[in-house]
Amino acid sequence: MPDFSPELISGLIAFLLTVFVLSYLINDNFLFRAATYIFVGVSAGYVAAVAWHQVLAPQLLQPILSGSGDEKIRAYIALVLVFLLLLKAIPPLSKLGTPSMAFMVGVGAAIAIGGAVTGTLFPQTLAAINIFEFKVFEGIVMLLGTVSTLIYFQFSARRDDDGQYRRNPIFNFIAFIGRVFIAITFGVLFAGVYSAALTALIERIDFISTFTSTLKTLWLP
Amino acid sequence: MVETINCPVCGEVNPIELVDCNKCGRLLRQTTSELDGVGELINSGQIPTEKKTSELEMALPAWLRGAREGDKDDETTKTSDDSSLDSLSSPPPQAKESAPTKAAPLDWLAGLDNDDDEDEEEAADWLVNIQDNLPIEIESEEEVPVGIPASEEPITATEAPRPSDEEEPPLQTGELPGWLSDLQGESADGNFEAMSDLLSQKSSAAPKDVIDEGGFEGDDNLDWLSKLSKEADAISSYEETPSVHPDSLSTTDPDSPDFKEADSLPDWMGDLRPAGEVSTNETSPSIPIDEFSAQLSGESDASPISSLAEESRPLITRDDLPDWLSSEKEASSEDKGQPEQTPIAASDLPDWMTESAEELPAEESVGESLTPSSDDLPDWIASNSSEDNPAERADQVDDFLTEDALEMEALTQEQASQKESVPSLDMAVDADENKISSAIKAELPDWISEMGQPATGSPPESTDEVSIPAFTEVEEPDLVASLPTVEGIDEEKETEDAPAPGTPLVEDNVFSSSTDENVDEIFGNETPDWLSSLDPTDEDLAEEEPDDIVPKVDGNLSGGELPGWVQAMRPVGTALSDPSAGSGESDNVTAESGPLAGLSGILPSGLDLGQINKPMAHSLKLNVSESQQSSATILEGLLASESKPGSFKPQTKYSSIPVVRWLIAALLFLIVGSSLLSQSHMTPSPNIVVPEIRDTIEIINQLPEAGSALLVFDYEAAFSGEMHAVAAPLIDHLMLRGEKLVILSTLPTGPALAEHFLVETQSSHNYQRNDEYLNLGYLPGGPSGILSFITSPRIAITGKVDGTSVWDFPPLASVATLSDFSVVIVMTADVEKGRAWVEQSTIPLGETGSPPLLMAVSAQAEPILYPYYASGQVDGLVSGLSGGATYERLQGQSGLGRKYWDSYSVGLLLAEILIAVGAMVNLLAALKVRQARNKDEG
Repeated sequence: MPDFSPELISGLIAFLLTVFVLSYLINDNFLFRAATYIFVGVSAGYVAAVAWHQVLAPQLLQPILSGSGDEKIRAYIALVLVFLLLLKAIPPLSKLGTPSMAFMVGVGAAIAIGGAVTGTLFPQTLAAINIFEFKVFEGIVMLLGTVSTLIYFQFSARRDDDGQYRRNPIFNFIAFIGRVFIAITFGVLFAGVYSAALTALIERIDFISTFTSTLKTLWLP
Repeated sequence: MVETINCPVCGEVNPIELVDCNKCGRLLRQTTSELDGVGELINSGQIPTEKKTSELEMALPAWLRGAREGDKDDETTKTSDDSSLDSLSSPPPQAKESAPTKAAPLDWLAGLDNDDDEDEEEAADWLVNIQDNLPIEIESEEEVPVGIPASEEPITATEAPRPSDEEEPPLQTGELPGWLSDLQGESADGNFEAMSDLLSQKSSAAPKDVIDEGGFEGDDNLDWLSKLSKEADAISSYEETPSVHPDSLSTTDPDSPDFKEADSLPDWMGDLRPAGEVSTNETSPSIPIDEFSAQLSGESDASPISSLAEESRPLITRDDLPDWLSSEKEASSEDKGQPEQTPIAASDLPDWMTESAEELPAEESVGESLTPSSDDLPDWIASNSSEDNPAERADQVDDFLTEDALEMEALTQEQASQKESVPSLDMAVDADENKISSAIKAELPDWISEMGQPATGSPPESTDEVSIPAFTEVEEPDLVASLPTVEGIDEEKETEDAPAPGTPLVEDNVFSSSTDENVDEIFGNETPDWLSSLDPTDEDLAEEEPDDIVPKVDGNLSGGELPGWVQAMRPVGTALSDPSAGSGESDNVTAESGPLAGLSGILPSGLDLGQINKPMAHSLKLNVSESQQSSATILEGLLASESKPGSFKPQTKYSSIPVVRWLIAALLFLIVGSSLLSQSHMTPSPNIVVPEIRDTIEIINQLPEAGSALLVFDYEAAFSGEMHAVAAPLIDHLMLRGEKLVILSTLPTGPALAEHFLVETQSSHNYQRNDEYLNLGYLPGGPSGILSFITSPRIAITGKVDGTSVWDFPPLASVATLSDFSVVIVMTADVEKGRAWVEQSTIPLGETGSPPLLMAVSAQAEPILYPYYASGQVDGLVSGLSGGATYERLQGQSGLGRKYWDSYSVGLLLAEILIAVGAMVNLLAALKVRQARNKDEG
C-alpha cells in the first residue's frame, strides 16, 4: 500500500487536473470546466487569505488595535476610505464611495502617467536618438519601420477619374513596408507566445511522465 | 380698519357684520342656507329640502325680483320700449305666475288687456276710410262686442291663455289667432291713429306718429283691428266658432265692465246701428267679408246679409253709421223712416281712405263724425247708391254694418281663444275672407282682399265671420291712390279677382317709400309668420272674389304676393319660391306613385328632377397602356420570384471531429514527448551568446558577497514551468554567490510560487527560511505599491513573522532602502508587470551606486521588454527557455533548460514545418481560386 503522502496527493491532484485540462483537445467537456472552476475557486480563496493575512490584518487592524498614534490615524483614515469604498456595492449609497474611488483612480493615474513619461517615453526617445550615432543602419531600419507603420494606418484616399478611391502610390508603397513591419512584429509576438506555450507543454508532459513513473514505482512492486 | 363688504345686488358698502344690506335689504352673503336649512351646507348626495318658492323671493336678485314684481304690477303697461313685428310673430307667452290676468314682462304685450279704458277708439282706418276722402266717424272702441261669449274674450298680453271651453278647431287660414285679435290696448288715440296712418295713404298730412315713433306698439297696434272686430260682432250675431279676428276690429272686451256698446264699434259703424238693437252682449253671427262687400256693392242678392239681418237683431243703429253711410240712408230713410245717421268726421278716416282728401286733417281723435260725401264713398257703396234703390241699399248697408260688427266681435273672440299657434295673416285673412260677402269683397282693394285670402290650406266653408287683416304695410300714396272711386267701382268689381294663392299680400314696392324705414321700425325686420304666411289659396276665396269688401286697389300691390323680405324668410325651395305656383296647386296634386300614391294635397315635386334613370353602365376593365402593362408584368415577375427559392450552393459541412487539431496535437505530444523522454540530446544547446545574457552573468559575478538580492516573483502559475527553466540558472548562480534572497511579489500567488520555485529548482542549496532567504509576501497596490516600496521599503512592508518584524531578519538587517539591495531581479511573464517595475525604478535605480536591475522574463514578454534593455534601463535580460538554456551552458550547468531543449527545439521545428505547410496549402488554394475565377471571367 503506497503511502499517501501530501506530496503524492498533491501530485495526484495535479496530474488529474492536467489531464482534465488536456481533455480540451477532444472538445469542451465537463472535466475541463471542472478543472477551470477549481483553479478559479482555489485562486480566489488563496487570494482572500493572503489579502487578509498580509494586508488587512497587519496594515489596518493591527495599527488600530496596537499601533501608535500616527499609525492609528493612518489606519482610521484608511478604514473610513475602505468603508466608503464598500458602499459602492449598494446602489442607493454608491455615491458615498466616490471619494475613495476618486482617490484610488487619481493616485493610480498619476503614478502611471509619471512612470510612463519618466520610465518609458523619455528613456526610449533618448535611446532612439542615441542609436543613430552608433548604429545607423539599425536606426534607419527602425525609423523606416516606425514611419511606414504610421503611414500604414493613414487611410485617407482620393477619388480618381474612374470613380475608384485610391491612395497616393508613394503612400501606398510606404504603407506596404509598414505592413511588412507590422507583420514581422506580429510574427515575433506569436513566436514568443508559442515558445512559452511549448515550454509549458513540455513541462507538463514532463510532469506527467514523472508522476506516472512515481506512481508506477509506488503502485507497482 | 373696519372691514366692509359690498352688497352683491346694489354694490353698497356695508359693514362686514351686517347680514342684510342697508340700502336694498338684500343678503350680503349668498349662501345655500335658505335651501337646506340655516347654517347647514349641502353635502353630496343630500336630498335638497323642499322650499316654497315664495320663501325664496328674497334670495332672488333684484333685477329678477323687479321683473317679477313688474309682471305682477304692470297690468296697465301701455308703452313698450321696443316693440316690433317679432312680437306679433309669436303668441304671447303664457303667464307663469298664478296671475293670469297680469301683464307679461314683454313690453309689447303690455297693456294688451287694456280693453276697458278707452272710451274712444279709433276705427280701423282702412275700414273707416273705405271711401276716398270720406271722413268716417269712428265709433268708440269700447263697445262690447255683442254675442261674444265670456270664454271667448280677447286675451291680453298679460293674461295667461285661457283654455277654450269648447274644442277649438285648428286655426283656419285667414284667421287671426286670438292673441292677435286681442292685440288691443289702452293705447292712446295717437297710437291708434299712428297705426291707422301707417296703413293709410300718404295723401294727407297724416300724422305719422306711429311711424315716427319707430315702433309698432304691440298694445296699440292692432286696436283698430280689434275695434273692427268688435264692431262687426256688434253688428251681427254669430254663433259659430269665432275665427281669428284682427284686434282692430274689436277693440274692447265685451265682458269688461267698462265695455260700452257704443264703444265696440267704430264711430261710423256705430252710427249705422239700427234702432232697437238688442244688447251687444248677445252673440250674433257675423257675415263673411265677401258677403259683406257684396252686400254693400249690391251685387249679391244680399241674401246672407239680409238673412242674417233677419235672424239677428241689428246692432248698429242708423245713428251709429258714419255720415257717409248715413247720408245714403237719409235718402232712404224718408221711405223707411230710418233715423238719421251721425255724420262721420273726415278726421276719423284713415289716411288711405282719404287719398284724395289730403286737406283732411289727420286727427287722432276718434269718434268724430264725418259727413261722407258722395265722393268719399267707396265705389262699391257708391255704386249701390247710384244704381239701386237707395232705400234698399240703405237697408243693405244697415245690415252690412250690423253683421260686420258682429263678425268683428266674433273674430275678436276667436283670437282670444287661440293659444300658441303662430298666427298667420294668411290664415286670419283667409278665415275672414270667407266671411266677407263676395259682393263686398269684389270692391275691396286688392291689398285688403288679399289679406283675407289664406296662404295655405282651405278655409272652412262654413265660416261666415268677417275677417279683416290685422294690418298691412302699405305705401301711403299708392294705396290711397289705388282706392277706387265711387264712380269707378262698377268697373272694378267685375274684374276683381281673388288674389292668387300664394301671391304676396303686399308687394315689395309697397314698402319702398320713404316710410319703409319707419315701417321697418314699426314692424321690425322680421315678419311674423302669420303675416308672411298670408297666401290666400282658398278655393272658396276664388269663388268669392267678387265679394271683396274693399275695392281693388291699383298700384304696386299684386294679389297674393309677398314682399321680398317676407319671401326671403320663407323656406328655400322651387315649390315655394314661386308664389305663382301657388299652394293651391299642391292641393290639386295627387300622387300617382310611390308611397304617397293616391294622396292629394302633397307637395309637388316641382324640383323637376326628372326621371331617375339607371346610371350608365361602365366597363369594369381598366384601360391599361402598354407601359403600364409592362410595368405590371415586371412587378408580377418580381413578386413571383420572391416566392421561388433561390438556387444556392450547399455549404460545406464542417465535421464535428477536429481532425486537424487532433493531428497537430498528436504530433506535438509525440515529438515532444518522445524527445523529452528520450533525453537524446540530439540538439545542442544554444551556444550563441546574446549580450543580455552575458551582461547578466557579468553583473552577478560582480555582486558583493553576502549581499541581499531582491527577487520579485511576478508571474502566474501557468507560466511557472517556463519561468522555472528561465530563472533557475540565474537564481542558482546568485545563490552560488552566497547572496541572501529577499522575495517579494505584487501578485497574491507570487509568494507561493516563489516557495515552489525554491523547492523545485534550488533545493540543492538548502537555503533556510528567514535566515538565508526571506519571503516578504504580497505587496499590494500595483504600481503605487512598487513605488512605495522603492521609495521606503520599511514603510511599505511591515509584516512580522512570529511576532518579529521582517526587517529584523538577517536578509534585511542591512537594508533600509532599495539601494541597499545588491541586485534587483524581476521575474515576470507579464509585460505590464515588467514595465511597471522598470518605469518606477528607473529614476531611483538610475542614480549612481544604485543596484542593477535584472530581468528574467518569459519568451512572450521579451519583444516588449527588450527595448528597456536596449535603452539601458535594464542591466540584464534572460528571456525564454533559450535564454535559460544559454545561461546554463555558459555556467556549465545542466538544468531544465537542457532537459527541455530537445523537446523545445523539436516543437519549434514542428511548428515551423506546420506553418510552412499551411502557408503552402493556402497559397495553392488561392492560386486555384484565382485560376477558377479567371476561367469564369474568361
